Amino acid sequence: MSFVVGSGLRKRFVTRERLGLFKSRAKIVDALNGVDISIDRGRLLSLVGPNGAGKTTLVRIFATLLLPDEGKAYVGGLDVVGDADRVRRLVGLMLYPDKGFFGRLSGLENLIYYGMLYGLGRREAHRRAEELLKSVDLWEARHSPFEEYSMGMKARLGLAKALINNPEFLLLDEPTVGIDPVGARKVRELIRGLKREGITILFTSHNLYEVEELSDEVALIVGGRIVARGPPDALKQKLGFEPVAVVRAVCSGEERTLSKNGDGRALAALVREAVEAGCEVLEAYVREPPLEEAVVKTLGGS
Amino acid sequence: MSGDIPRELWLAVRLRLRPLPLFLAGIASTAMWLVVVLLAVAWYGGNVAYTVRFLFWGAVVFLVFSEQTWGAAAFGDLARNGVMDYVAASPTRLHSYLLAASLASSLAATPGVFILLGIYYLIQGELPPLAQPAYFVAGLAIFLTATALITSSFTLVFIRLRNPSLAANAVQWAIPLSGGMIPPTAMPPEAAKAFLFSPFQYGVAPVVYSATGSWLVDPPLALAAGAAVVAVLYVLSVRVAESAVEGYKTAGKWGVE
Amino acid sequence: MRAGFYLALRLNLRQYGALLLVSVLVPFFAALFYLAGWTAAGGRSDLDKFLYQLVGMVLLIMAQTASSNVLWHIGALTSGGQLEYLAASPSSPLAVLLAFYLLDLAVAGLGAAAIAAAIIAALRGALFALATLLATAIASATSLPIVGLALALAYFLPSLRNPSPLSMILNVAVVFFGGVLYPVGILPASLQALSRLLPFATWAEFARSVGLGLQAPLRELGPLAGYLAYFALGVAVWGVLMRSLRRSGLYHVW
Repeated sequence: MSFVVGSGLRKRFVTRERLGLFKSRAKIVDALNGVDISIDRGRLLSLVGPNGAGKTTLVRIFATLLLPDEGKAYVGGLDVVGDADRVRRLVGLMLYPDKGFFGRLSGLENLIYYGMLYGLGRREAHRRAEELLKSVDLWEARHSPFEEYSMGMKARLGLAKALINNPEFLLLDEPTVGIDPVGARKVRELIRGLKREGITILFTSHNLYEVEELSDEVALIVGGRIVARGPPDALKQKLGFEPVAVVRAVCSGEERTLSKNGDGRALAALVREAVEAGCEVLEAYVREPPLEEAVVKTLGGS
Repeated sequence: MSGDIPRELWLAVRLRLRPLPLFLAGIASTAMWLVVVLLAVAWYGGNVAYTVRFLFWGAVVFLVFSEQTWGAAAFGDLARNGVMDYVAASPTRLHSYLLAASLASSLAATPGVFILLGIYYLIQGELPPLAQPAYFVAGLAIFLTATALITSSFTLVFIRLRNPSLAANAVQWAIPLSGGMIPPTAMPPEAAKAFLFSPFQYGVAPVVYSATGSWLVDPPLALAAGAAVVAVLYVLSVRVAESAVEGYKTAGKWGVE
Repeated sequence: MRAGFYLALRLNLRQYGALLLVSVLVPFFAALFYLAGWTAAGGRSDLDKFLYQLVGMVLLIMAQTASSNVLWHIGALTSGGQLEYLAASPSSPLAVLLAFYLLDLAVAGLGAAAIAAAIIAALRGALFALATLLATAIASATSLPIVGLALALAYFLPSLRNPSPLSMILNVAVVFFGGVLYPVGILPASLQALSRLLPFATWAEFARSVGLGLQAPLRELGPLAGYLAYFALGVAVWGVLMRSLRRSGLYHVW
């Protein structure tokens, strides 16, 4: 059995939509429509999909913050509904890159507070907070108030907070959104390090380049349903996006570009064909379609 | 629960001391407001010394409850900035978390109480006498627990409001006033009797009664009724917290965030 | 200023309901003081003092609108980043702030005055009720010095990052030195002298004389005009603040 399992998860939100000063009507949103998901221990699964697809809802269910209307979810064999208290001790959570902290407290104090909230003694929380601040490269800013941190620093503090209880399962909901490229790269490096330590991670992001870079598996969620899933390369194939062998050559004094679906073998065949046809090969390569292209085209974008 | 109170006190002290100008302005304005209230009441012809003695414990009660109420009203900000999501995702129970936060708020009223004692000393040349110290300790314990339970429940009401200021203002006055902040024992008996029907009187007023030595009902009976009120409030506040967590887990949010 | 009125109305329409409810606090607090005073004075009551404090509560709400609300509006525009847009537009941020103030004053002042006037009508008759409404209008027109003080204190907002300490001090100064809940005459002489330097007590006394005494103390018009220097000071300090923000660029980082 996988370390993290969700089966048949459904969640419907009913809210009031304002139509004016005094009028409103019920608005029903089916955030999850029967999601099946599993993550093996030590693996990183990324959830990708458009806004409102159900990514955050799924994250919140595994964080014990939302009750599914139907279906079951387990972390380490524990039911997130029935064993919520024990699940919370296993889970580290980062819901926002820039929120969830007390602005007037320093980064160190915020982490000590969260450490105590997870049952650590004051001294132990202090020690753990310092250790984490070093590991997320916030040591110099540990005494500065959170409200003075940059977005990237806030996100790294969020990551440190998620690790305060030494979690076995990490939930990271868009941890790099709104962060500058250097800051985002730092966060990605930290996540890669956590993966190496064997922590199981559920990650959501709109940045599909980083998803491709970090993920063992990617699940594409649309309208509350997982429509495709697999390792990034396999997922692209599933979505009909294969690598393309490309050869640029000069044939009869004219420059031409030859291409063929496939990887190295297709490329070799293409080069051979070009040479046999008397062409001079200028450049030959296999073009991997980026995950972003595959996902955007699948979702109907241009 | 035992670890919750030191943690919340640790947090409350830090949050209230920063920024320092806010803390100092708060202390200075609290002191001046109290002087204003004393002058506004004494202007009616009462002797200032008598007015101070008769209002002192009511002012203490109000100050502590006011800290608790505004601490509770501030939870809307914590819901909006995501802290409450993280609290809900932690192993800490919401009920004991909120109760600890309320108790920490009441302890954070200590500087204000010292200011009151200072003003009392300046005017009277002595510290306020305690007529029945043993009853006072019991009354204080009942008062702190009862009001912390009340405000921990109101936290979950305030958190649903976009602007809780008005509701908080109403609560901060309604409970102490109906609880005997202005000592009913100093009122004509007909007016005082009305307080017997207020459950808050048994949670709040024993502090005032035991300090002044003048009770509306027999002290052991009043304290027993106070303990019963605390028990009922405890059950109610646990239920309110449980239902708030259920609502949060269903809707995915606390209120207007 | 037209844009300011539009913004204030759109932004605060729902809050105005709450602001009107605050008016209920006027008779509530006046009655509370009366009750406490009655008990402290051994059962003796003085209706004139109740009315004095009732009108005083109306003036207190108006003064707090001029002091606290102005500071909080500046704080909100700054932390939300809108001050930058206002400063970059052809209109004046000060005009927008004054529009906010006038609307707040119209809602809070009218609500409080209407409730007080209704009580005064019942206790003293319709003439005194009308005079109370007139007094409120006069107090509105002469409240600019208090706005000036708030604008001057706004200079410290970038370093404090929070309007609370400033509004707390200004509010308590109004109530302590302003003769709204008791006459300044009961304060020690040194504090009375300090009170004369501030614009609150003359402002409150003038309005109260109209409302409860049915007379306008014309001799106070001179000092009232003199206190307008506080408004001039506020506008000047505001100008300095805006220039310093333009130099530092720190419009909304706090």
